Amino acid sequence: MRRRALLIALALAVCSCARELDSPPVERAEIRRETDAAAEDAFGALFTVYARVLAISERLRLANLELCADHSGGYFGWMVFAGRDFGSQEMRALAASVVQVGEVPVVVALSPEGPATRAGLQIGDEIMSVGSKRTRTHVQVRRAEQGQSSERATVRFRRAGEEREVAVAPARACRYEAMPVYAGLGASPTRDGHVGVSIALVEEATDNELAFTLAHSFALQRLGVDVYSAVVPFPEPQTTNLAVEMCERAGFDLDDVERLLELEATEQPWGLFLPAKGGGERVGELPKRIVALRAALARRAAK
Amino acid sequence: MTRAGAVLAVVLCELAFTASPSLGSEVEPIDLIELAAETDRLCEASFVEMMARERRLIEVSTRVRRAAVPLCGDKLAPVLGLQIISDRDLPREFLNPAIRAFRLRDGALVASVLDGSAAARAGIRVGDTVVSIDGYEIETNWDVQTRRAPAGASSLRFVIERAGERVELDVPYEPGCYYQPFLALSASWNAYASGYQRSIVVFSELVRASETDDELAMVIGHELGHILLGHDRSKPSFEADADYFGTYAAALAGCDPAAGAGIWARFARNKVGSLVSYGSHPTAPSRTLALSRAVEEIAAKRAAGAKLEPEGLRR
Repeated sequence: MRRRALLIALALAVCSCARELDSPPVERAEIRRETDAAAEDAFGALFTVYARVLAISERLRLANLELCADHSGGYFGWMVFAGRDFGSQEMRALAASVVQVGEVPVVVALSPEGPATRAGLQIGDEIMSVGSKRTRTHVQVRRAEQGQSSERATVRFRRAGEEREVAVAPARACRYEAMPVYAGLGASPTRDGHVGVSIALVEEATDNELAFTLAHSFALQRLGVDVYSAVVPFPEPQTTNLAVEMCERAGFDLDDVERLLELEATEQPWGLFLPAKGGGERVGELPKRIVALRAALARRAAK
Repeated sequence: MTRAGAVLAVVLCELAFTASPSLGSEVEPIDLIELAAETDRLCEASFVEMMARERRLIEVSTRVRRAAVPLCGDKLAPVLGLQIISDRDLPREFLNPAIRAFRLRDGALVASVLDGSAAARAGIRVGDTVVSIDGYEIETNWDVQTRRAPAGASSLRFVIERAGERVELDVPYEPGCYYQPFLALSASWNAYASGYQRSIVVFSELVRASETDDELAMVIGHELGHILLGHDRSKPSFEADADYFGTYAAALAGCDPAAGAGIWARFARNKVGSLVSYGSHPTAPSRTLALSRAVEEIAAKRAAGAKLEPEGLRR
């Protein structure tokens, strides 16, 4: 058996008739420099996306405390990012060397008037602990932040190598947090408890469109929908109605947001297709959302 | 499944979720007739967009495959310049849109004919149905695009159905590099070549992300490289060679490979992980650098009036 496998492997090695070309060489040092330059550009673009997601989601989260009811918690108005949030060793090393995002979570976006800013925290500060909780990932930071109910929370951080401490006076906000992710064009609650919104969508969307997309995922969280069930459809029009209400309370105008929903549907038409026999994937969520949105806007116009 | 079946399935879905949790307020259920119409409208919008994307893929690949013939040895196949749709190829949700937008019937329907192409000169028109090529019965797009020319043939004999009549047309054999690219619906930035399936598959998101024809030509040239160089799997040295080959193929097709490099920079922004590793592919920055070297090499050869051919190809 083993011999046969060996013979087959040998035969394959002999048969591999791929031809090789002599492309001009590129030096390693040069690749290193090019990588650093490209990384600075890419991380810069990424942090811009973070700041935008923070700004839009903050308006929704602060304006909807009443609707969120017990789904609320402490809020600092920041976004943090840790080396550990990257999957690979190489990415961690790159993040550490190019944008100084290391093993400790780093503040990458701040709300201009938010509690963290008012307490004096700055972009680039490394967050060591929040309250009494040591923090090593962005999920740990979020949990510690949302668990704050006292008037003052002590944040230990490092700036320019020096450890410091500051007291943050947390605001209260809905406990839904949005984070940029890479896949596809859309947004969805994730297993970690936050909402993942694709970078492609953030770059494509207007503020109103981004708000509606985020609000829809927040509404799914509010309604306790099991987004991982492959077969249970999202409750519509309830989810969309709730998202519309959240957007209106936060002052977003939804008259033109159908454009983005239509783009999501036409770019990813498999979302419109019925599942193959025996398949259980969700289907037709976007047309339902569009019809529900139109009905909600028509009701509002009639009032 | 039929459209009626689709509506029934949607109705079942609606019944399922009326029992799901809500915030407690009374809500008016979704209008199912409006929902079915909306789903159909979105399917048609998507289908029309994807057809435009496939047409662009065929246009650019026709240029690259024809121009790169000197690099492709005997790995040649007919380049027809046809866009074909068939009820056998389409997802069922695209059937109604195809009937409305392109008058789809049974069989392989000609949806577009590229200007100046072999098919156009032979007199093939939009709306024709391809019945057979060289006596081989034709049912699908794949049947048309992967038909090979017999040795020594100067044309392919098409039997066409037009307004109920059968017409025979000789389409001149215009050789191009193996194979015709096909569009696949997918949200990832990817493409692959399959010798077994005699096809190059480019994902719809990658065609969209290729903002210029220069960029799309690089993608097609890269996949042609895999086929021509006999790559049987993906590994970094194969990917680097395919990039190198693709740069020459794009340059021969009159595209600007330096402009095509923009796609790697955008890829790095879109997926920061590609800066350090991307599966079996070289990282985005090393691809950018290798490409600029190849562009310099091509410019030097052009200036010296030398033959445009990747180094090591004739070994």
